[in-house]
Amino acid sequence: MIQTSNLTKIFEDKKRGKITAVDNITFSCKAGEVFGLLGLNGAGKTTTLRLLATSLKPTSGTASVSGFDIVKEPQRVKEKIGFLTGDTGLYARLTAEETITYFARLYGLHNSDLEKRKTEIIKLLDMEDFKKGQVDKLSLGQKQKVSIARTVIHNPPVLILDEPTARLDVISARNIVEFIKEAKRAGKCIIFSTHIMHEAAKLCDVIAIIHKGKILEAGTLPQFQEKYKIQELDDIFVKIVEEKR
Amino acid sequence: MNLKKVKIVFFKEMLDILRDRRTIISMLLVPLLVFPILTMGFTSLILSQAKKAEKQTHKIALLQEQNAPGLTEIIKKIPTLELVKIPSDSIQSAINNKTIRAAIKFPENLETKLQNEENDSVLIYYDQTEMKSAIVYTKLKELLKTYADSVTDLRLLKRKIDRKLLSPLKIKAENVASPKKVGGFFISMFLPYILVLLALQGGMYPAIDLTAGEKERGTLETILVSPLSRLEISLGKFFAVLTATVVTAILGTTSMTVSSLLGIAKGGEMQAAFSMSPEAGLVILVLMLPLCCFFAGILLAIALLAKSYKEAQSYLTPLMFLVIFPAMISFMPGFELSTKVAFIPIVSTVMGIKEALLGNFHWGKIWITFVSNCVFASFGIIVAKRAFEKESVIFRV
Repeated sequence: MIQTSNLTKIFEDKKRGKITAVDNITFSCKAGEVFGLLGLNGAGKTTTLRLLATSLKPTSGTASVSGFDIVKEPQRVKEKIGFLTGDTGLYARLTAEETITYFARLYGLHNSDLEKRKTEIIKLLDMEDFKKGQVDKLSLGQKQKVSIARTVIHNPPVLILDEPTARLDVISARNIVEFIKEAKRAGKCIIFSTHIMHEAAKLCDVIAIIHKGKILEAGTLPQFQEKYKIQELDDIFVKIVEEKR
Repeated sequence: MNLKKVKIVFFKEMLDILRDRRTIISMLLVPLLVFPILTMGFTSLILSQAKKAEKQTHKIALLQEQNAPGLTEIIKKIPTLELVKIPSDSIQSAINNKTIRAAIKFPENLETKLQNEENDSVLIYYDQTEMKSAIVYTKLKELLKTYADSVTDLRLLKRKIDRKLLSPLKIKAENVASPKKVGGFFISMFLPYILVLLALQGGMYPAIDLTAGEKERGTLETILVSPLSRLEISLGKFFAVLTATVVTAILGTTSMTVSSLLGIAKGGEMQAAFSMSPEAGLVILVLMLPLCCFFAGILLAIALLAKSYKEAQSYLTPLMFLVIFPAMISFMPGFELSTKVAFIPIVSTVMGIKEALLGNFHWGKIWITFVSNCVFASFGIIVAKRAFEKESVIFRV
């Protein structure tokens, strides 16, 4: 579903010169798998996800999402992904329903198909009570549900989640965790970035530790535990990062 | 490019814009209310103040009144003038601090000289910048003129000369300008300037809201990962900003035209009417539409550079000045739409509209202006599209 190949992104900064945000990374993620990018702030997680979502263009290397190349077929890639961040990124002056309708139309849903899918999502996420509410009047949890609805309205096979729980309260964060588990059960390919270790340990099938734009190591939690003889993921993470410094 | 998607973005942006209080104020309320308040309110205020000042009693001082006892008596009988004693060396300060509104200085032995058929002059002190002082000055001047005329009449009578002999040729003037032309002249000076200014101002807040505002709220990234090309996003936003500029310009123009004419009519000094010929309307449309496109593109591109609403406002303020100054050319007398001028953006549009409102249609130059405006409009759209394609601009947070 996702396959990166020597993906690299270099930014030009007038003051700091060239900054390699993503440095030659290669990994893959299958359908029904949760792939976690674990790293500190500024490690290159967001840039990697933006490259996969095609909002940034790679300096070199490439990746494919659902069989489409991110450089050559960005439009097709965008049709196959649902992108969600912790920052809800919603239009404050639109209602929850208008938001869902807007994105559904952008993804090519119209008339009865649109209404059917909208009703389905509203029911699934229990949004009936606040669907007519203007987004800026909604609670954080309700906003998060609108965000999820917007992300999955077109039923994408790939989900790209950039620190989806970072700015959320405990209840809202739990909604997201449940959403990820449900998406995995539905066979979706999920890549998500986080710096919250217990979340990664709980959700990820494969964890990639990213530091200064490079993937230092990738594997399952048991593989890490076996290799480093350490149980806790945060201890494993610190050890790997320290070793590579 | 999928036009359906551009339409979806456009309608969503319009919905968003129309629910934003700031945009509603700048796009609808400002153009609708500013002109009636400014023109009619201002005219009414000045007129009522002037009428009030006419009826009020004003204090004046006479210097060396012993030289003109007859004239002094006449002045004393005028009910709206009150004589006060002021030393001659403090006349200026008395007028400045409004103790008196004006003063007359009679020369040595004025009335004796006049009786002896000698001539002399009278000095009136007043403050031109003060409305009440100016009103009193006009009154005194009229009074002294009437007095001088009566002295002339006496001298002529003594010589048995008919007064008519002194004025062999009477000069009469008749203003042939129709009320429509009077209105047209006034409107032709203000309307092009206001049109251009409002078009820019109307698009400013929507442009900021749809770019820097979205960056601030985190929604820009959401739209970037939707199945839209950068061209579709920029065009959807562009048409929304363009709509705002056009709507503001139309509302402002209508409001200004109506309230200006009512304001002039209320002034009572001249009769004014205004009707726009279909050709003039066509010229306004043909010249303003590409200019609005240029504004919409430039506004979007500049506002997109900013990372916050406030920053975008500070970026766009200089642009306002860059537009105001060339637009002010419509107030300049004698400046005409030449072939060279037709290539200068804003100036050409303003002059083209001004001439059209006066009934002068230089179609060749209007055509050049249209083409050059279209070039600038394309430039505006390209700049906006490029800005949306630039990662360093989009992700500048």
